[in-house]
Amino acid sequence: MHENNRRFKSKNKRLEERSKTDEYWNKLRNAFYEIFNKNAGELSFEELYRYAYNLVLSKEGKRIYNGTCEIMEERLKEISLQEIKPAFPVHEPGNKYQSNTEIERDLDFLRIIKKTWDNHIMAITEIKSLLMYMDRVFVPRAKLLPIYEKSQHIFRDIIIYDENIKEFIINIILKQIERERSGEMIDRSLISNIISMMLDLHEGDGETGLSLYKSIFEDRYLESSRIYYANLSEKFLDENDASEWLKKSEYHMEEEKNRTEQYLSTFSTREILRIVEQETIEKHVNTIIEMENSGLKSLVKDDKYSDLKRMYNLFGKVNNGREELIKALCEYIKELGEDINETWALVTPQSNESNKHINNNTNTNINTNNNTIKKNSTINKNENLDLLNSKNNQSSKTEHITKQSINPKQWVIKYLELKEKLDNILERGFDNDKKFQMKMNSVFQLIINENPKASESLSLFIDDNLKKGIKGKSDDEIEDLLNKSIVLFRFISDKDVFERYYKQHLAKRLLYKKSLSEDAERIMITRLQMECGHQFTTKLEGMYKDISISSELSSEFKSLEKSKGKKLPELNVSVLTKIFWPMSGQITPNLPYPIEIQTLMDDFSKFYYSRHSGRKLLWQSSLGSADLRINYERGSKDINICNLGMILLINIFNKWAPGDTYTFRQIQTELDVNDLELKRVLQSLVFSKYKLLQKIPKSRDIKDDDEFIVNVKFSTPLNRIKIPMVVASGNIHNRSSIIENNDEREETFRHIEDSRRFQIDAAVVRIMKGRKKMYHNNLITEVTNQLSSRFMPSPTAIKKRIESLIEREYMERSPDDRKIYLYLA
Amino acid sequence: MEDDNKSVSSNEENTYDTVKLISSDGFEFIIDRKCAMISGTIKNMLSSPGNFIESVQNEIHFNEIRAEILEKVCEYFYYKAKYSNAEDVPEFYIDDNLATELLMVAEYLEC
Repeated sequence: MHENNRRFKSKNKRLEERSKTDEYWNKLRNAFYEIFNKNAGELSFEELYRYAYNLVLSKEGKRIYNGTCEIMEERLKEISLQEIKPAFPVHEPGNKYQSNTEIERDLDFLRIIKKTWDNHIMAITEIKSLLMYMDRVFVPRAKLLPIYEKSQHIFRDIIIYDENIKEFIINIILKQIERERSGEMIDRSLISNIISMMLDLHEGDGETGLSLYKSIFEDRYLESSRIYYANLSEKFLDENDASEWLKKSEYHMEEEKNRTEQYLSTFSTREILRIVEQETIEKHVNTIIEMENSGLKSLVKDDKYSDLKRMYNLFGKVNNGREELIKALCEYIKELGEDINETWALVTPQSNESNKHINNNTNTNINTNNNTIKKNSTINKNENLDLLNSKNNQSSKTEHITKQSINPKQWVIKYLELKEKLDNILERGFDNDKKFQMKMNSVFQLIINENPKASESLSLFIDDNLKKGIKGKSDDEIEDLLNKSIVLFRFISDKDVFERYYKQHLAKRLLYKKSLSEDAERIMITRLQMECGHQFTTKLEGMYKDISISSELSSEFKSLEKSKGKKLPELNVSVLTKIFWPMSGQITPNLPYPIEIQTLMDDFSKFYYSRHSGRKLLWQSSLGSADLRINYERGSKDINICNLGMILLINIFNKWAPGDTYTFRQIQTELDVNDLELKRVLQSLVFSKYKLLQKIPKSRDIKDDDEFIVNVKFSTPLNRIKIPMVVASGNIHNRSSIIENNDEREETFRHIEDSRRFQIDAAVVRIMKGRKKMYHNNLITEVTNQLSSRFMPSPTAIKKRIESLIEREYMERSPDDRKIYLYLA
Repeated sequence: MEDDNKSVSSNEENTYDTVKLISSDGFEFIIDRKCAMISGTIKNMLSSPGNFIESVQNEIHFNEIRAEILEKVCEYFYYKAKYSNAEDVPEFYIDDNLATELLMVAEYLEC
C-alpha cells in the first residue's frame, strides 16, 4: 500500500473535530471506569479503539495518556484509603507469638493487596489493548513509557511506596516464613502472589529497574534468616550432637531451597543457602569436628560413612571446611597410629631408640653353606642316680612376657585394619577425594615409619602367614592378604630394610622347610617384583633354585652312599650360592664332629667337587641341626638339636656311665669349642622345656667347676621333640618368628648401611657420568630422587659419599666454583 | 469473496475457527480466524481479557470501512497467509481508486 493522501482528514472540518475529540475522550473515560469496575461486557472494542485511534490522529494522544494515568491514580488512592488502610494489621504489643486472629488479619491484609493488584493488572491489560494505537504511534514519539509500564509505576508509587503498606507487607511475609520454619502450615500461594507482584514491579522510571523484590524485600528476608539460623545454631551447640546437627543443617538447606523455588524467588536461592551454610556450618566447623561423642573422631571410630559423607559434602560448601576436616582427620589418624605404635611396638612418640648402641661384628664374606645332619645314633642311659631338680626358670619367663608385648604381627594387623578403615572412609565418605587421599596417605606413611621396626614387623607378619597363618585359607583369601601386605609395604620408606628382612625370613623358611605354600611364596615374589623390580627378586629366585638343586643333590648323594653299603647316618645338604643368601652366621669349621659324620661330610665334598670343579664348599655348621634317637628306659625319643648339641651329646654324654659327672671345664677341654656357644647349648639342655641334662648347682650361670649329669628320668608324652636354643641374653628364643634382639638388629643395620653406601656411590657416579657437570644441590636432589623408591638417603650421607668419590678421583670440584662438581672419566 | 468459508460456528464455546467481519454498509465477511488475526488490531479485539462485545459475539462491526475495502482487506489476509513464507510471491493487485483508503484502513488495522 503506497501513496499518501489525507482524504480521511479533509472530510472533517476543524471545528467538528474539536467537539468530536471531547466526545471521544468522554466515552473512553467512561469506558475505563467501567473496565475498572469489571463491566467491559457491554462495550465495543472496535468503537473504543476507533475513538482512541482518532484521538491520536487528532494529536490528542497526550490527553488520553495523562487522562488514563489520572484515572488510575484516582482509583488506587481511593482503594488505598477505603480498603487497604482499614485492613492494617494490629498487634498486641509485648507478645512474641501472634494470636490466630492477628494472623488472620495479617493474611487478610495481604489478600487485599493481592486483590488490588490483580484488579489493577486486569484492567490495565484491557486498557492497554484499547490504547494500542496510542502506544504504537504516540508514546514513542513523546518519549513516554508504554501505558502498561506506566501503570505499574503508578501502582508502585501509590500502594507499595506507602511506607506503612510496605512495612506491613514485608513483615507479614517474614512472619509467615518464620511460622513455616517452625513447622506450621502457611498459605504459600498467597505469599507467592505477593512476591511475584514485587518481582513484576521495578524501581526507577524506566522499564528495567531493579525489581522491588530485590530492592525492598530480599535484604530484609536474608537478614531475618541469618538471625534465625544464628539462634538455631546457638541452641544446637548446647545439644552437642554433630551428626544430628549436620542432618539438620542439610535439611534446612533443602528446605530453604524449596522455599525460594516454591514461593519466593530463585534469585535468592544462592544467597539463602550461603547464609544457612555460614550460620550452621562455617562458623562452627571446628566445634562440629571436635564435638565429643559425635564429632569426627567418633564418626571415624564407628565407621559412620553416611555421616562422614554428609560432613564432607556440607564442609565442602563453606570456606576452609574441608581443609579443617582433613587436618583434623590427619591428626586423628596420627593419634591412632601412635597408639598402635605404642601398644604393639612400644614406640613412644619422639622417643630415642635405645636399641642401636650395641655393636656386633660379623661378616659373611665366605661361601655360606648349611648342613643338616640326620643321625640315628643311640645313647644308652642307665637311670639310677637321683639328680637335683633345678627348675629355676621362673625369672626367664617373666622377662619373656614383657618382651612379648612388642608384638610385630599384631602391629601389622592393626595397621592393616587401620588402612582398611581409612580406605573405606575415603571411598564411602569422602568420594575418593584425591586431595584427601594424598594427605591421608602421607600421614599414614609418617606414622607407620615412626616404628623403626616397621620393615621387620611387616616381613615377620608375612613370614608368619606363609608359615602357618594361611593354613586352611582359600587362594583368594591368601592373595588378598598378600596384596594387603604389599599395600603396607608401599608405605614403608626404607624399602631396602624390608628387602633385607624379607630375604632373611625367606631363607629360614626355605632352609627349615617351613613354608606352607609355594604358590603363595611365588605370588609374594611376583608382587615384590612389581614393586621393587628384578634386582631384588632375582636373588629370591636364586634362593629357590639353590634349594631345589640341593634336594636333588642330596638324594643323589644318598643313593650313592647306599650303594657303597656303609651304615652311616643320612645327610641332607643345602648348597647355597653366597650372593643370594643373607646368612650372617659365623663359620665354625673345626667342630669336632663324630667320626661317622665327618666321614659323611668328606664324602659329600668329594662328591660335589667331582661334579663342580672350581667351586668351593664351606660348611656353615651353625645353621644345621641333627635328629638323634635317645633310648630311655621308658622308650626312645627322637630329638632334634643343633649341631653343637649333637656333638655334645654324642661325644661326651653318650659315653656317660651312671655316677659320672662332667664339669664345664672338662667338657670344654674335650670338645675345644667356643665357650659362649657351648654355654648356650648347655643352657638349652638344662633350662629349656625339655631337661635332658641336670646341673649342679642349679644356678643359671655356668662356671668352670659346675657339674653336668644326664637326666635319666627324662620323659615326655611326645615322641619327637625339638630342643629350642637359648640366645646370648639368656632367654628362650624361638628363632625366626620373633623380632630381632639388639645385637641382631645392629648387625642388620650395619649391613644395610653398607649397601646404602654402595647405592649412593652408584647413583652419584651414574648421574655425574650423564651430566658431566653439576651443582651440589642439584646432585643431592637427583640422588635423593633416584633412591627414594628404596630408602631416603640423608643429605649428609650423600655428601660423605661425594667426598669419598672425590678422594677416589671419580669426580672433582670445579676450580671456578666450589659448588660445582665435574665428572672425571 | 462474501460466501467463502461459510461459518461452521456461531455459538459454540470460545474457540471459533472463523470470525465475522461486518462492513459499515452491512456486508458480512466470515473468514478464517487465524487469517483475521494477521491484523494486530483484530487480534487484540479478539484476545483482550475483558469480555468486550466483539469477543462475546465473535463478530466485529467496522463502522468506518466500506464493503469494497473490507473485501480487499480480507483478500489481503488470505494472500498474506498463503504467501508469507513462500518464495515466488505474485503481485497483490490494488485498484488505484482504492489505494488511499486502503492505506488508511491498513494503518487502523495494523496490518
